Amino acid sequence: MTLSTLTKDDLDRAVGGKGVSLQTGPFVFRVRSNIPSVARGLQLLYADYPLIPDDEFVDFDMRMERGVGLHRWVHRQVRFVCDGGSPFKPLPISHAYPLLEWAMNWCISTQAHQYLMLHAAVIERDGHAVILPAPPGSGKSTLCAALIHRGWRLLSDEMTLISTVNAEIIPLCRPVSLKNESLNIIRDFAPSAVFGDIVPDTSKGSVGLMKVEKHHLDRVKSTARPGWVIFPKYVPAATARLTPRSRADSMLELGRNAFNYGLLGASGFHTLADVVDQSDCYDFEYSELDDAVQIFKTLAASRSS
Amino acid sequence: MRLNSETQLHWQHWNNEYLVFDLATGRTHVLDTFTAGVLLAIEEGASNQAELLAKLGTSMSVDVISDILPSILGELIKSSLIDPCLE
Repeated sequence: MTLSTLTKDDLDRAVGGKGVSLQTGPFVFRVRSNIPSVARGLQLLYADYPLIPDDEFVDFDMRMERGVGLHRWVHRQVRFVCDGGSPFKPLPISHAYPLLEWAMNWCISTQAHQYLMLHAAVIERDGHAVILPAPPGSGKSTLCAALIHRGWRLLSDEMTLISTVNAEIIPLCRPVSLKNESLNIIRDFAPSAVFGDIVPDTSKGSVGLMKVEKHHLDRVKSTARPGWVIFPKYVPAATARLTPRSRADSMLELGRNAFNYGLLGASGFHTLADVVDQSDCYDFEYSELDDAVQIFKTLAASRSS
Repeated sequence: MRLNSETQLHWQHWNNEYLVFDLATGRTHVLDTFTAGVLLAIEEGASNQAELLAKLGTSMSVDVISDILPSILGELIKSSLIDPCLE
């Protein structure tokens, strides 16, 4: 049973009442909110995700609540509440849906230490994953969004989950967060892409979440082996090009991009070493998405041949 | 010299790149082949310069090793991987 089986009224009632429990990758989130944009966002972006019965275990119990005091009416605000605490500053109420997604990232990155977690997008083709770690502004999410419309499977746009048992990569498969110019670039590149409300003036600029197509979700239980670690960088007018980089340096950089590498100790070290050992490592500069797609296609063919 | 008493080392290498994770500090270090050889020799029990030279001298000339060993040991001490204990 997926969330799309609920009517809009049913969903509004559930989200505004005892909450809806959704499965995304290995995690179940219960979301409660009396802010309409939250239910609206869920209805559009999570329509094809499994709905978990109310009496089953949830990993994260989240509430998106209206501000307190005067902020209920003036300069209205949204607060994220989790396990009774409110870890973030309230934001304008128009930011409620992006805040929900950021809060989901926060829940996972601060608690799911059964995995090694990298701040990186990850996509897969023919069983081999490309890990795309990069700082904000490097074009990581834009590249990821483009590639998943050209034959690559989305495992995650924001967070790479790696098993500390066998270094397999576990799909998370949540909506892809795009910002500013990237929104129109991907609309032009993939006209079929579906977006939730575009929210302007957030701390990251204008933000929109892109819906994950159902065929990606249908394979959410299929893990992938690491195949490549590629550090992308958008460079205006650059010719798309891959440059090999050292494994040791790549591993150090991945460690710096991890949420919990230090916390996992030796287990994190050996897991990351296992990932890098199985991967070819590159820097990647690009300006045109079509060129990037071609290079990634050639890369995938080199593994499958 | 000897390994820092708190240190537990975990190793990974690709060709001539060596990574060592120090469980005591949570730090990961990238080492070149020679530095890795020195640290491995100390981990295996070499505790003075003569023992290090004996272990390392099979692949490099003693003169070359003698020249660069002090700075390598200095770096390893600075990284808290080894202690400069008295011989």
